[in-house]
Amino acid sequence: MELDGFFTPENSDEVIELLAQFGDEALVLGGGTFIHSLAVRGLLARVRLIDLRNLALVGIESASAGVRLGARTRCAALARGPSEDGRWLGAVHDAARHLPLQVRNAATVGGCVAAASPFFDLPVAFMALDGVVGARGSNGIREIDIEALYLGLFENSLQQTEFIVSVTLPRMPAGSASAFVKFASNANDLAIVSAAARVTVDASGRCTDARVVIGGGVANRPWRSRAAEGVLQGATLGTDTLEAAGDAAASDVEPLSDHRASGRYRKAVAGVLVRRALTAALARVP
Amino acid sequence: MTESAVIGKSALRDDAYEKVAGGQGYPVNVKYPGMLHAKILRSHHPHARVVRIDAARAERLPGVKAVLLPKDAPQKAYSPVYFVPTLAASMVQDMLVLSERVRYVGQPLAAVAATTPAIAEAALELIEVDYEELPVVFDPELAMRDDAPQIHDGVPNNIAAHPKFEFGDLEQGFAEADYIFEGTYETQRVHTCYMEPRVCVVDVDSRGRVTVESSMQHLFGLREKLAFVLDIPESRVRVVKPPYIGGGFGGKLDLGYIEPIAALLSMKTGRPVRIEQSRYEDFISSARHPIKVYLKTGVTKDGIFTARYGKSILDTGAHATHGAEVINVHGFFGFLLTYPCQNQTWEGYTVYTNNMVGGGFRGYGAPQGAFAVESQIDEICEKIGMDPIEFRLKNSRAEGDPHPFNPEFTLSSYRFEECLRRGAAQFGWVNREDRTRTENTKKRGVGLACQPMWVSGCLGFPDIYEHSGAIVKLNRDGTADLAVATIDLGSGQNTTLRQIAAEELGISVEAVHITQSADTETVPFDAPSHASRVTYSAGNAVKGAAEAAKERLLEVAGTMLEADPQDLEVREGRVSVKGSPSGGISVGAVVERAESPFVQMTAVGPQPTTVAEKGTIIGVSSMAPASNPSPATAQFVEVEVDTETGEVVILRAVFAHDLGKLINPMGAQGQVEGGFQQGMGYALMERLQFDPENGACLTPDFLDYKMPTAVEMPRRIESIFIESNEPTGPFGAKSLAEPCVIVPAPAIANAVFDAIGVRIRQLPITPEKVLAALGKLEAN
Amino acid sequence: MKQIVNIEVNGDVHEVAAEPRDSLLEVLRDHLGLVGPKRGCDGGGCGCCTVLLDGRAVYSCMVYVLSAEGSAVTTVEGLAEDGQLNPLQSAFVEAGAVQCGYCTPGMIMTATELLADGEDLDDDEIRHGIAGNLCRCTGYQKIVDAVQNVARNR
Repeated sequence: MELDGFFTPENSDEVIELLAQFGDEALVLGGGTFIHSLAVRGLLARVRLIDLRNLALVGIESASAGVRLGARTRCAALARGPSEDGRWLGAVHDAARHLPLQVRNAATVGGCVAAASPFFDLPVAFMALDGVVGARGSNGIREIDIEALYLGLFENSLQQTEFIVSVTLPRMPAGSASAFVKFASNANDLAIVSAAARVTVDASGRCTDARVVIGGGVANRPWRSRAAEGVLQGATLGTDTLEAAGDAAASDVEPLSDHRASGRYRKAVAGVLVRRALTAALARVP
Repeated sequence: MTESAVIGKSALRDDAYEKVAGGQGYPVNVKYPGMLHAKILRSHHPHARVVRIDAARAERLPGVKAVLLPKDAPQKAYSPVYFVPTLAASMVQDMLVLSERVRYVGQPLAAVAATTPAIAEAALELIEVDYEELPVVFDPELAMRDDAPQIHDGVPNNIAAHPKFEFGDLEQGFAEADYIFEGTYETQRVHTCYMEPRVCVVDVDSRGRVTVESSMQHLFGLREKLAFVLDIPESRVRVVKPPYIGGGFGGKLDLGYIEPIAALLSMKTGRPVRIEQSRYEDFISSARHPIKVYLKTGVTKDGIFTARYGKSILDTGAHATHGAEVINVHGFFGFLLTYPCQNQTWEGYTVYTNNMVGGGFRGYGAPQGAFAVESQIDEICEKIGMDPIEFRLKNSRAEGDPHPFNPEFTLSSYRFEECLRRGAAQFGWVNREDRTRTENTKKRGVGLACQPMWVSGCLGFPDIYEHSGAIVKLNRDGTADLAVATIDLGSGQNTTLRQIAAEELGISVEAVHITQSADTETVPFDAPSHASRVTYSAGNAVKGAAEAAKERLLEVAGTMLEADPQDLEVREGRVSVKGSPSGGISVGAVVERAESPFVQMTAVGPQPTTVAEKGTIIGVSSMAPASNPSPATAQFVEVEVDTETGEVVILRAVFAHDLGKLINPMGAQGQVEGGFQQGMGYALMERLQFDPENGACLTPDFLDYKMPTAVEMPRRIESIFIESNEPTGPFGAKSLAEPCVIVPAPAIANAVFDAIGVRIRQLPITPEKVLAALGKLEAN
Repeated sequence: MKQIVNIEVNGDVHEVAAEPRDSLLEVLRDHLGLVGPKRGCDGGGCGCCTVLLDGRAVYSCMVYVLSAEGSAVTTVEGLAEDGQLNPLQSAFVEAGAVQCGYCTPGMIMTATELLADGEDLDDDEIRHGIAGNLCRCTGYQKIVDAVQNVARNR
């Protein structure tokens, strides 16, 4: 990597100016963990880094509408919990806890979302919570549904002069809970397969809303399984239903094969993890 | 035997105090004034001839001081292995420092020395290379075919070595068998994963004297091999002993490319040159060889071996290096000597491929053998309905039996049965049919595996250096300086040697100090820190040097106490007449007397002393070990297999080891616990992987090369040490280091079988292989 | 082009001229002459380079030093109290948690953060806490013991 410039703009307009000036060579620096991993593998050519440290963008704001995470919030800040009234956020806490301490302490919410890697954990959890990404551009902030942010492997739908300022998680109704599970080779690994699930259950035990998202190498981006959600919607969430949802999720994906696992292995495990994520989420429903 | 004062009591490590505060003593920290930094250009092709290499642009880059190309390097073939003479007949001399023929991806092709590492790195990209690509072969069995590409000229079928040994009548043995078992067992390429990279600084002065500092396992091996490659007398190479290195495990047992390249660049520039490998470069520098083992075994229905046949194909990669020796150690200690049988044949093939080279790694061929042999024993026991402990005991040697291959010795200390019995008792081993089974998706199972025969030192093989040496010098404050060439790889060799010296001298372990400044000019030769040999071999040398120093100490003390030295002893730092400790004098006072001027001032005025007692009290020894006593070991594990994901979790591990005499309990436990991590990683997750098309490494860092973290480890690893008291060992000690790495993989494989009823014969036992074996993956 | 960065390391303020690509690890080792933080890999996975950056354990090889402007860094060299090893360092020595020692400074820095909030740590919490630090010698057992001894005895 030829790192040819390190900038510390004072405000959003300056960030946008730099993005416009350097085009493809500009990279917004969050915690640096992803950029570093690309650099050491020789995957970056000429780069100018734009460090957002002079912009606020840090913090977790909880309001009645939901929770807003500043883009520079460290993943470590998400690892605690979930609190009694925050069970719907369980998947986020689970995902943050899977990162090793040193990565959790450096990586930021914005960085891990912008990386557009299906192997990262938090985006899978955010997608299960219908996360909305705030992207600042020259015309102000554009809200992007996180599913629409992901176009392909390491490819996001941000425009050249946009950068991420927040991720907002809309508050889920009572009876909601979520969970995230991950399968990897060791405790310091990217996901081979991961799954996040969110369920909302009414007083009679019926599922009124569900999200199922699979990560790891099951697709070139975090994959929302509408097939699995269809199985859950309106159903009573007994063992058979959860099993059927897992099967539906597995049938829904055509995973990648690489040196870490074959596609057929990922397919087999995807269904299991979806079922386990659903089971864990369900166990959290008050 | 009197009770030990030091031996058998946990001793704290001297170096730990420094290491927790930073750790200055690693070779990676060495800096010389005016030092240049070099980087190595490595081949992108697995097999090619260089038709043009042009470094003109690189040489013009500001900051570049020298470029080294194949034409600048000596074209003298060598074997880099430290523990044998350079031209040992048992080894294959097939390497060049820089060659215009590259045989694997990553082979060095050129190097640049510059004022900073970044400039050197940038200069590499300016070197233009045109290759003529040659046909490649990555699979050793394909490489053995007549139509395979030839990797080295004059080596038909790419077979670098083909040892074969026959005992008894194999056909007769199979005829006598009630059952015959056949199986093929495969192991993968894994790295030692020492944490400190291979790094060196080499300085060649204006008169051609070479000074080397390096992270390596053998002071004198580096001197010998580097002098050979540079074609200069050994005495012109001074290798400085590092106070400690950041791990070795066998991975630093050969001359790297970095030392000769740095030396040649230093000669060109007249400045010291430093090279530090990246983790990727470390990964492709050395590995445990993959071996495919075919076994055919005859047994009676009573569980006695009647015939054993083994054939092993070892992928040695682009060069033979250790592969020529590993195949023999594998054949003997991985197969032929493990369990006695009248009728045995084994043959091995060390085969060239266009893969990376192999190297040393704890176990040195035995892990691959143990995985095959110990897995197959489990299959045999399952078939004939015998408990695996009973089967092994029926087929084992016992204390007092003749040594299996050296008729001069007996197995004078050998407690294999005790390893199995005590291990089983502590583990709570129960017969397979009596075990409780669960009905849920997570299945538990137990397994065991043994390394019945292993050596400390390598007596019995040709060419291998065996001897060790030590210097013990006593100080006027009653302490001792111990100078050895032995390199502490991290497992605590220095502490063990200090304990041996302290016990012999009758002083405290804290009073023995390993000299920090030592080099090939100042300390006696020692073979490498390898082959589980340091405690036994270097330990004997240290004991010998301490004995010599003590003899002199008692002579001087005898004149002071007006006693016969024969009647004196040293305990707790004091010399006294045996049986009357109160009347003695301190060790320091004796040394003071020996080193004092002829006339000493005393309370009663000046007193003359004798000339005969003058001089530093010092003891020197250099000796080869008398024997190669075998330890014996047994490993028990309990696993839980998730039958939905294929994940294997180790719940428990109990390891029993007859080590002769336990010298440092805490150190020994630590070595076993670390050994289990390496064995477990081998069993479940570790593997260097390469692109099957172009040979590029797919696992160049710890994101893709997976080894166990603290989370995957069993919550407690239990060690049982059995003391058989070896008569030839220092205070009865034998060895410890390697079996604890060898036995986990087969024990885990056997436990997985016990849990889920399917046998995995290829390491590592990944979750994917488990699910495939359970028939839970869709067909391709 | 070099830029000036101000960082406080173990209580001393340093003004360093660094290239944009320079990592915090390189500056600590090559500019400031510290030896505690070690390079063990290149990709931020071994943990040998772990230091505290404003109290948080990070892989110093992954931190662009220019992004650490104005930060306070603690390395293992900064832990001694009045010239004596601190309780965690002593616990590593006494528990036999140090073998080759190359991972030790990073382990100790990670454990320093784990112990910082004063809460009890069970075996599992310690193991997950040090999962970003690899050790090849010890099997982690005695490292976990050392951290636990400090957690219990404070």
